[in-house]
Order: sequence, then structure tokens, then C-alpha cells
Amino acid sequence: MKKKLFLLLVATLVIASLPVATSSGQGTVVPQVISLPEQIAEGRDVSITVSNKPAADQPEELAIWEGQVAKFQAMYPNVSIEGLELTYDPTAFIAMIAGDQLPTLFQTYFTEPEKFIGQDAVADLTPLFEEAGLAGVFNANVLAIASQDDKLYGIPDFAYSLGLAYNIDMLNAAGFDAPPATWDELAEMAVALTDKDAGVAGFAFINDGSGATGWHYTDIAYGFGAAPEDIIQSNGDGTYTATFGEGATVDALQFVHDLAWTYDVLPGATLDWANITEALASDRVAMVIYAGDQFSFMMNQFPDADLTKYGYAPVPAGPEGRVALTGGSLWMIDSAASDDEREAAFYYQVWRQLDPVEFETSIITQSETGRAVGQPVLPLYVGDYQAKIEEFRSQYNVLPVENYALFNDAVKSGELKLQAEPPAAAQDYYAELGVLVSEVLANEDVDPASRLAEVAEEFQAFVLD
Amino acid sequence: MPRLGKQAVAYLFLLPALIIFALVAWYPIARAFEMSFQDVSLRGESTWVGLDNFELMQRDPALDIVWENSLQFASWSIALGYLLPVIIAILIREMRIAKGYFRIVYFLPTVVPISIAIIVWRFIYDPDAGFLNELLSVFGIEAQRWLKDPALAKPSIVLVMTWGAFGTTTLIYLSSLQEISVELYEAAELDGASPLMRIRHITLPHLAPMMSLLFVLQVIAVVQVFTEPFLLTNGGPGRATLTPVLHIYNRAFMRADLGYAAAWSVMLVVVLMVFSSVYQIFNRYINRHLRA
Repeated sequence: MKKKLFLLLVATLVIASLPVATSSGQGTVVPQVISLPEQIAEGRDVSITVSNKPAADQPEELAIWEGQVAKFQAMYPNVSIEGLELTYDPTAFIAMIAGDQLPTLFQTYFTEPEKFIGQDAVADLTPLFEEAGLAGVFNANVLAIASQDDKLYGIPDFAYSLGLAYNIDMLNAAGFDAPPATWDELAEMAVALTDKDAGVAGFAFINDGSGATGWHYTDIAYGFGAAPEDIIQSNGDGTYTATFGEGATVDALQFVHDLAWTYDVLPGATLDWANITEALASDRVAMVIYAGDQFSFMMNQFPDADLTKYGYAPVPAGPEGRVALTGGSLWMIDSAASDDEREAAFYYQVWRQLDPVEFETSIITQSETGRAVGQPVLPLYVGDYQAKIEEFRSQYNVLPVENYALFNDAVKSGELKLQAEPPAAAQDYYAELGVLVSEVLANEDVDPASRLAEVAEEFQAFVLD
Repeated sequence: MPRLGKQAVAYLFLLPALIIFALVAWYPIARAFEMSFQDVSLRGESTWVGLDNFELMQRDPALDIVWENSLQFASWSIALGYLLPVIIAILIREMRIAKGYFRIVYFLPTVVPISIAIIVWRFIYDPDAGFLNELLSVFGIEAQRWLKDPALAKPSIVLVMTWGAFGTTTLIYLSSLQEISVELYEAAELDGASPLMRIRHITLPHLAPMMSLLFVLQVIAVVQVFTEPFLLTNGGPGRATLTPVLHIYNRAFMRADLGYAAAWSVMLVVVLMVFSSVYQIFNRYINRHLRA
């Protein structure tokens, strides 16, 4: 009962504290970029379900969530929003597509749109983007990830590039005052940082043999000078050729092989997306390939971790400079949703994400409740809107952003080049390379050049032909 | 007419079970068979592709490895785990004291939820700070990369499978041993038979049909293994522990390629049916031969 009263109180306070001119953005630093409709679904009753509702054991997040729902429903009384405590899980969502159980609006990762679009499971949002005047607000490169055949299928809500997280204390103790500038330097530093007897690895990346391993390997391959067309090349006639059997991809796999067998700087334990953070937070690894948003995961999952100990830098430079892969998350709408439901879901998402008051309130609350504000991520939008949200957010940073200056400066100056994914079958390719990297890490006798050529040939026959 | 009436009532009682079976077992089986000939779209129209999925299978880089793995898993499992429950059941049967205690002790791993057990086994196998490597270091043996070494990954997983399953099998053998009349053993003892002779001439012949059945069931279960490699190695290192069901799972749920995954399922059923049939025929031949 007390909890309910508390939630109600917080929700009321959130609503009451909001400026009156919500849709014009008056009194806010961040400009208004969406034109919200007078009515949704022409006033007809419409109900939608929305994923990622915070659970009851996160009372602050839940209060914000419920406050937003209440506010949107007050603006559009014919819209009813039901939250689902459900976060994205590839296996569960495939079953949900089959059983027509997808939430109307749900969040997923940048790696997944291809799968949903291929299964006709998500709605084309292009007309809604045009109606809301939003296409020009988002960074075009980010929108491209949510698009196929010139149709927009998702609303990106954040983007990051892979970078290098490192333990500042461990680097200092080994006599280094900066993270490695090149991949060779990374290997040399990792040797100095490795202490096998104490169970400390100098360097790590996701090594569980899954698609995530292939994805981290590809980040290294881009660092070694590979471009997307050096992995899978479009032949211009709708067919593709697997080109990753030679060139910089081989150099990168040889580097991985050397890290494991020549330098011996990699951890013995299997690290996936979640426990690579655990390894970093428990001082078992000095440097890791990391996504900027994982600091938020570290903060939530390891409350005792001292985040000021960790720095974040762009990936080391190779022959083409510093080149990194991107990732992120986006919201998609169930294709089984009616036009009315699509409209309600779309406007609910863009309103809570882009509306100046919502944005500012959310940042203030996150900052006041000690959430991870200030993650080293990529600009999601362009122009004035992006500049203004950064300006606003910078007053409320919770994370030690000074430790991320190397990364943020490299993004701003354009020194860090962001590279797109391979043009076709990227997820199949990541899965296949994940297996190969795991093979290289397990067996010293594997010859990277000949195995990569074999795998490219098999991939051509099995996936691309 | 009264007989028909009686049967109608019987079928009426069976109806709920039949409906449930039809919905959760027979329909999915029939649907999987249908899907194996389709390019499956979960929302749109699935298209018939004939034997395309089966042809694609021939180009699957995992095809040979997966079946080789199954054969090796089955061999390791038979080597490590087939005779163990028989031996333990006989030992417990021969015990004069604390029989109940040992029955429970050996059954305990079976009641530990597999996901919990896997977490513990991960600690045991951890290459950096695992219990097993610590133990080896006491004897001066160098640390092993249990689950990351292609040569050790399979037996390491089979050990976990055996640990989790042998309790149930031991109970089955024990219950079978209860059927042997005590007089038979007493008579043998009076005739001067040693314990080993009693086992050779009374116990093992009695257990033989059960052992034959459990052999088939064990092979079928091992070929279908999923949980242990999924949770311990995710099929790695490389594809060293990739099993047919794990491959089917990856294709269906990670890559949303349901038609292809269904084709693999059909192949798995066919392979197991062929194995079971051949084994049955072989078994019948052996039995007839022995009797003759």
C-alpha cells in the first residue's frame, strides 16, 4: 500500500512539476522538433502494449514510466497504454512473432531489424516519420540501420560505437599514462599488464564463440584496415561475394591468434556480453573492447564498482586510422497492429524520447537518482537538436565523463571513423566468425589464413549463393 | 452395441489426453515436417521450396562436424556412463548396511536443477581459478583448459551429463534387481558361488534386457543433448561441442530460419529411427542366436 502511495505521489509530482507548454517546448533548453497531432486515431479508442516497463523493484524508474503514461493518456484520452515487464530476448520474441504476441511497441538491438523485417513482423513507419517531420532530426547513418528498401522500420533510441575501456589504476601501476594508440601498442601493453598467476589478463574481448565474438572480431578487422566490402561485397545484381578470406581480415585473425598464443594476454575464462563487465569490474582484465553503454550496466549490476577507475578511449589505430563498428537499440512496432495502434505507439515513443520537457525531466530524474548520465555514446540526432541536448545533459552528468574525453574528442573531431556493417547477411557472418575465432583461441595449430579462406568459401556456398 | 457403448465411454475418458497430445505433440510434429519443405514466414505466407532445405543442408559447414560430434558424444557417454549405474546398483544391492543412504546419495545429483548444477560445474572447470585445476596443481599437474580445449571439451561435458543422469539409471537397475528372488542368491551361495560368480550368472543375465533398452535410450538422449553444451560451451570451442539440437536451436531461434531448422529436426528423427531399428534387429538376432 505504502509503495502504491509513493508511486502515486511521485507520478503526481512529476506531472505537476512539468511546464504547461509541453508541446511547444517553451521554457526548455532543448528545442521542440516533433509536431504532435491534435488527435490520435481521430479520437477512436485505441489500446497498445509497450515493452520494457520497469519492474516493481525499481520504484523510481517505474514512477517515471507511469508518470509518462499518465501524461500521454491525459493528452490523448482515447489512448490506453499497457506496460509489459518484458525486455528483448531473441528466443522469446521469435515465439511471440509465431504466436501473434508481440507487444505493439518494443525495444530491440541494432543487430535485429533484418530478422524482424524478414519475417514481416514489423510495421513500415515511413509515413509516420514523414507526418511527424522527424526524418531530418535523426542521424542518417543511424536511421539506415532501421531501414530496408527505403522504408523505415524503427525509431533508434541510442547508438554507440565500440571502443576500448581500461582500468586506469592498472595501466598506471604498469607505467602507462595513456591507453594504446595502435594495435601493436595494445599487444605490447597487454603483455606488461598480464599477470597469469594472479588471474589477470591484459586484454579481452567477447570470446564465447557467439555472434558477439564475430562482431568484436570484425571491430578488430576494421581496425586493421578492412572495409565492409572486404568482408562481403555486393556484386550490384542482388548477389554477394564473401571477400573476407584474404587481406586485412586475415591480419586481424592472425593478431587474435598471436594475442592468444604468442603474447598470451587473453583470459582463460569464457566472456560474454554480461560477464566481460564482471571481469573488468573485478580487476581480472585491464583493457577490453567495450560499448559505451556498458558503463551503465556496470553501474547497475556492480554497485560497488568504482567507476572513476575506468577510462574509455577510441579503438587503437590501424592502417586506416581509428575505425570502429557501431551498435545501439531501437523501437519497432508490431506489423499486426492496426493503423490506429501504430499511430498511438509511434507518437508515444517519439513524444517520450524527443519532447523537450520529457527529455529534460528524464535526465534530471536520472541524475538525481544516480543513474548513468554521461555515457560515452554516439550522437543520435543532428544539428541544433543534438547540440542542445548535449549542452543540457552535460549539466547533469553522473559518470566520470572526464575519463571518456579521449573517446568523445575522437568522435567530435571525426578522428574515429564509424564503419557500417557488412552489406548482407551480417548476422550470419558474425555467427560464423564467432565460431572461427573460438577455434583459433582454442587451438594454436589453426592457421588463420587458410581457415579464413575455407570459411569464406563455405559461407559463400551456404549463406550467399 | 453394449460393447460399443463401453468403448465410447472409454474414449470419452481418453479424450482430454488425446486433445492435449494432439495439440502439444502431434500437431507440432506434423507442422515441423511440413515446415521442412517451406521457406517459413511467421507472419506472411510461407512458400513451398521442395527439397531446398535438405539440399542446403549438404552445403552446411556444420553438417559433418555435428554428426561426428554426436558419434563422439555417444561413444564418450557409453564409455564413461553406461556401466557405471550397473556397477553402482549391484554394489548397493550387495550392501548389508547403509543401503538406503547410498541409494539417496547417488540419486542426489538428479534432483539438483540442471542450470544450478551447470553454474557449479563452470566453477569446477574454470581454467583460471577452477577447483579441478587447483586439485591438479596439488599433484603438480599443469592447469587444463577443460571446456576450451577441443580434445577435452567433449569428455568434460559428458562427465556433467553422466553425473546428472546416472542416479536415475541406477534406481531403474536397482528396482530391476529387486525382482530377483533372494532364494536364487541363497541357493547359489550354498552351492559355493562367489559374489563375482553370482553377479556373472544371476545378476547380469537378469539385467540384460534392461541394459539393452537403456543402451538405446542413452544413445537417443545423448544425440539429442542440448542443455549442457548450450550452457557450458555454446557449441565451442569452434564447433567441437555443437550438437544437432543446439544447431537446430541456433538456426531457428537465433537466425529465425525455421524451415531449415525443421529440415534438421526431420533428419534427426530419421537418423534416430534408423539407429533404433538397426539396433532392434541386431538385438533380436543376438537373442535368437544366444537361445539357439
